[in-house]
Amino acid sequence: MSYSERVLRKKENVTGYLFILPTLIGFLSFVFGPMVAAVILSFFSWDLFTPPKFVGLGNYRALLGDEHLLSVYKNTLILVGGVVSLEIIGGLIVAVLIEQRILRSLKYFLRTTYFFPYVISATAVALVWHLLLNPDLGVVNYYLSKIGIDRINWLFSTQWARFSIILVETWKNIGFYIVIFLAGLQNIPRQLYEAAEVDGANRVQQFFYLTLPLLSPTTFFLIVVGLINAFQIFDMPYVLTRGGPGGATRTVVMYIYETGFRFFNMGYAATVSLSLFVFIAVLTFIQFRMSGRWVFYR
Amino acid sequence: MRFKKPGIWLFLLMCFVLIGSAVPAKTKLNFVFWLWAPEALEGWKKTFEGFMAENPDVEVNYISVPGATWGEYLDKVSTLIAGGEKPDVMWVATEGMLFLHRKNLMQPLDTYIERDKAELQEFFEDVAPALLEAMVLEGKTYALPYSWNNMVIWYNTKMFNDLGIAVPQEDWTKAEFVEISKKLTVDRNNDGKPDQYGFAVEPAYFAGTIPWLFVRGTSLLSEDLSKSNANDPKVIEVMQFLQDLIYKEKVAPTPGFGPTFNLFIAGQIGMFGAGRWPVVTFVQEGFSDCDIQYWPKWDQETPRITLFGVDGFPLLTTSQNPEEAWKLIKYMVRKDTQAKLIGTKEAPVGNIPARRSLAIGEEMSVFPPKNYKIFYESLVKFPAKPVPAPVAFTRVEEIWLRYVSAILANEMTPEEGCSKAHEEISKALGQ
Repeated sequence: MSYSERVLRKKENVTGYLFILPTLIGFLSFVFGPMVAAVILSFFSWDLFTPPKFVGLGNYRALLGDEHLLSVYKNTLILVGGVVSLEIIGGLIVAVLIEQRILRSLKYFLRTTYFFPYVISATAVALVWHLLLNPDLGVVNYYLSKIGIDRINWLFSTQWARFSIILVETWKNIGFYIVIFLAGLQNIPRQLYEAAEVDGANRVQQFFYLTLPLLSPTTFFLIVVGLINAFQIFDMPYVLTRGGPGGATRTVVMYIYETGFRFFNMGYAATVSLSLFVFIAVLTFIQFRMSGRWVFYR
Repeated sequence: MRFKKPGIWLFLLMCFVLIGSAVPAKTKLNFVFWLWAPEALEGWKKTFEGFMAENPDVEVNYISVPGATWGEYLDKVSTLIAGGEKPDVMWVATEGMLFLHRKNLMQPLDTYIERDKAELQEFFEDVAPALLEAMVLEGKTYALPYSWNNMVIWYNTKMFNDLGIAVPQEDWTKAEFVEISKKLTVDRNNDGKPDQYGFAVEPAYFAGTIPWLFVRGTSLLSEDLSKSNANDPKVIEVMQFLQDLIYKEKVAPTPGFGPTFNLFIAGQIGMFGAGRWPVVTFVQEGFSDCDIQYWPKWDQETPRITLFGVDGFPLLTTSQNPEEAWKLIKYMVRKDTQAKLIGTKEAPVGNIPARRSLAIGEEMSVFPPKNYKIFYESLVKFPAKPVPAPVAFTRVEEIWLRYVSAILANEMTPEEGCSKAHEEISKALGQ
């Protein structure tokens, strides 16, 4: 490499770093910094007002004996399972339906309509659904009663409250899944379908033997992202049910928030948040390991 | 730019310095308050402007903190202070007094009060003793009562009229309350489901369960707030009663029924419990078919205990200008300042002024309820106790409401819910 080439390379490197600088600064100060702080905090007892006290592994011991932790993890797992499976399956079905040979303008219209709730603030969505799902005055129960279904206590019974949150969360996010699935579908070459047709495969067979395997990288991406997002579910249950009834919809992140900013136990809150971090990291690792068996890259 | 004539620049600089020093620097007072609704900001601004007009050397730098409840507001203020903000004065209610005290954030006002005794005498004579006592911790006064609220029963007079029900009288009991609730519960379209209910059972602390515990002669916590009392048979009895109102008597809708005030205006709920704050919604909606009565007695034998919460403005230990802050604190309890708490037709306010002369004065009669005088009378006629709010209030409230919501959703028996709540609250208080 000549001298001038090396200078050029160096210049290019600098330019590259300059481009990522804003993101890097943002990442370091708002993601990485707080993460390091959380690790350090987890060894302290800190109520925000008095100086932090070093407690060694005290918070971690408390973590093991915390019965609430089990219940908030259980709630979160139920919500995550429901939300992610509904989003993936629902998103896939809607995307495949939109991708049929229909008017292009209608296609755009549907895509935008489904995506719309995704850009609205979660709190606003939750407030509107809170009114819709009102057991005595809500529109949902009103129409259900028209077809002879008894009033359902959507938000104030353990089983329905969880279901309602899954429903609303899916309604809000499904647009994102549809759009990504649509992109994945459009990447599948037409010729493959034509070849399959020539070989005598019907539409159902085409879907299961062609579409599904070729979409697997997209599906994999969405499951990973979906799980990570769903584990951090907070605003929907916070506004819709306040974690109730009886703590049935209290999620891990709500628990972290309460511990830290309502009960001022920052050290323990940091410890719980680290447990969630490890949980998600392990889960994601397992997914990547398993992905070799079902994800096909062309 | 080249500095060809440095003399001119130096001269200009001198001028600025001279002008700057000729205007005396204003003392800044950091004032934190709960903005329960955005509309309330105007009223606060006017109060501060009034104070600054009288004290031109002081500038009030206000920090409004939104939140749904006193508890939520307190959480945010605590984070604010921990984040390095140094308020001189903050608005705080009973719910937060012990917490601030334990965190050593409030200064006792006794020396200031002693010094300005003559000036404040008229105020102290105009305030119910119960309100003053609620501001005293370990023998020291930390705030002067500004406004307060107590729990009474609101009833829809039109619904009572339409159904020919006699309005509740002062000495009514729980049994009469249930009778009235039954009469108010009506299935208009004969589908086997009521379309209007007698009462709204709120899964709330101050505004829901505690008033019933008080009239039953018990409380959630021991007298000194150091121990849980949630497993007291009387507490269980009250929770059973509330659960029965929904599922056995069927005179109350299942909780989660939505905006109580609007349902009440629409004639779908005949009675509910609250302080003066529904007035804000009622005035805005132009609704006046309502009145209030004392919380029903449990039975003829058990004496009634009034539940109240009071707020004021403690001087914080973070204050850098305590003298000016004290001036502001005194300004907030003056009669003309507190008169603004009654509100106007355009901007109603939901609190009751701490001063007796205002709370039972003619000015209040502009707004519903007609029976407004019983707000104040409930403080002096019956024994009155502030809302039980220990240092770990937010935690106790969270635990209690978690079990209350399970009991009121009929997913837990009152015995089970109360005994589990007792266990958790005991643990929280022990920490």
